[in-house]
Amino acid sequence: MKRIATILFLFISSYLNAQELFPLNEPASNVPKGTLGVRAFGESYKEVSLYRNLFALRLMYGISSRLSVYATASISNHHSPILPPDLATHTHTGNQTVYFTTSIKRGVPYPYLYNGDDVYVKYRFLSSDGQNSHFRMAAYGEASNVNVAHDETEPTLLDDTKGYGAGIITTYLKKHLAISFNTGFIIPLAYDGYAADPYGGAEVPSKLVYGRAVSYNLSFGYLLFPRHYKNYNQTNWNIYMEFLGKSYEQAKIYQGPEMVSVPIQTPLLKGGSYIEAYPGLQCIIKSNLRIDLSVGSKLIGQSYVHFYPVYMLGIQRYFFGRE
Amino acid sequence: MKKALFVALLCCLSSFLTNAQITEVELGVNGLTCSQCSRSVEMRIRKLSFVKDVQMNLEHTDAKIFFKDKQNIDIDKIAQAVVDAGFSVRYLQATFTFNHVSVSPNSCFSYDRNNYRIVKGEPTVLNGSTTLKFVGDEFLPRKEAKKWLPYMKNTCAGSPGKTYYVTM
Repeated sequence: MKRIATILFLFISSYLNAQELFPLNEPASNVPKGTLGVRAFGESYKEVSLYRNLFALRLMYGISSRLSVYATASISNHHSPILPPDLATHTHTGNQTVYFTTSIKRGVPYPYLYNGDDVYVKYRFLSSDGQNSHFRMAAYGEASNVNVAHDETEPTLLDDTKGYGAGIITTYLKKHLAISFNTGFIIPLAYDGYAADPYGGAEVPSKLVYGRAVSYNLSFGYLLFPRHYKNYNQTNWNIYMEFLGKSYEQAKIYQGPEMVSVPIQTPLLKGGSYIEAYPGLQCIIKSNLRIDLSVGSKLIGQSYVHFYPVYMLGIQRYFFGRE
Repeated sequence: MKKALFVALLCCLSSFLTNAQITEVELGVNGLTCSQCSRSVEMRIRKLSFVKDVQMNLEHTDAKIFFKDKQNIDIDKIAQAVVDAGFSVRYLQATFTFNHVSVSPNSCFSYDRNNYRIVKGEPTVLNGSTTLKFVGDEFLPRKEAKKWLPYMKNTCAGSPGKTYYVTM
């Protein structure tokens, strides 16, 4: 906490230029018109004794000065090919089958699977620019066809759950300070498939309805080097502090031939909320090739979709066409 | 008297006989805070077919633009390139080459297929390399542009192109 306070103080007292090229959160600004951006990024964390990894490729395009569209595809070893056997289990009492959830075993190796595609559209509807400053607002919409056996209630459109979402981004930038607040909702669609039978029998028809969520992210950033811009060849070093938060509802599980509602006991499937802190370091080579690294830890509550620390690495470049 | 009329007519005509090309444009860009953003602006401007070179001052966020010879220089496209990159124009001024052109506030002159109306400045004779500042929504921040609206009601005749409003 003390470390965070120190970093915040650094932001406020900084005499350097602010940066809004946040590694994790989207600013209200857009990709320049007619420009193609390519971003490759990954996420890694240790779960018990193995590493869970995600690799994603994003194409970004500036349709107009106000409208950008992103398409992202990802693979990860986060998910079992079908829902795990311990998501919900059952006992037989006479003629009755009683279903209940258990604690899902962590650290189970899963193969790398293609998660699906995510489309994100951002429209900047407000701009108030000054010399070395701006206040901007944008609205975004997102839709995903990800269809994997995600076994926690928390929805993430990029790689865990299909569905859609929308939100608002507000970015304020004044020489010494950059702040961006990003809030929105996520409406996930259910995973309709099968779960492995805990007793080794036939796969059990299962439906997992994920909780709807509200996200709230706050980012700060500033330029460490160079102190004064001279040319495009100066490597830029930026530091960031990003806070990612989400509140989500409890999941609903239906299982068995008759799709019986299963009572939820595990925190992985109960509603919750959290805020995580991601300090980040970024370098931009030749004013175009952007490399960023962030490390996430829990601040208030916690997310159950990953373990901590979470390492995020991204590399991004713009292609301007004929130069 | 006849001589005086002839001189006045010549003076008037000379204001419509300037066909030289704009030699340089300097513009300030608002909203820029990173060299990557400046680069985006520069790349958008460089894409314009009549642009020869762009010199971007990253610290002061302004650009000097130089042109290829014998090209149709479109000032609107330059301003639009800044907007397309996601930023806005703080100011835009262009360097003209004049040959004894008499101007006064509210007077017009033609230059390289376009018309220009002087909205502010003392009556003078423009000669040689002269820089004029553009006014209007595309070339100034919104608040500043508003101040010039009362001066921008009348267009100019003379050339088939559009009318730009400039100050000295």
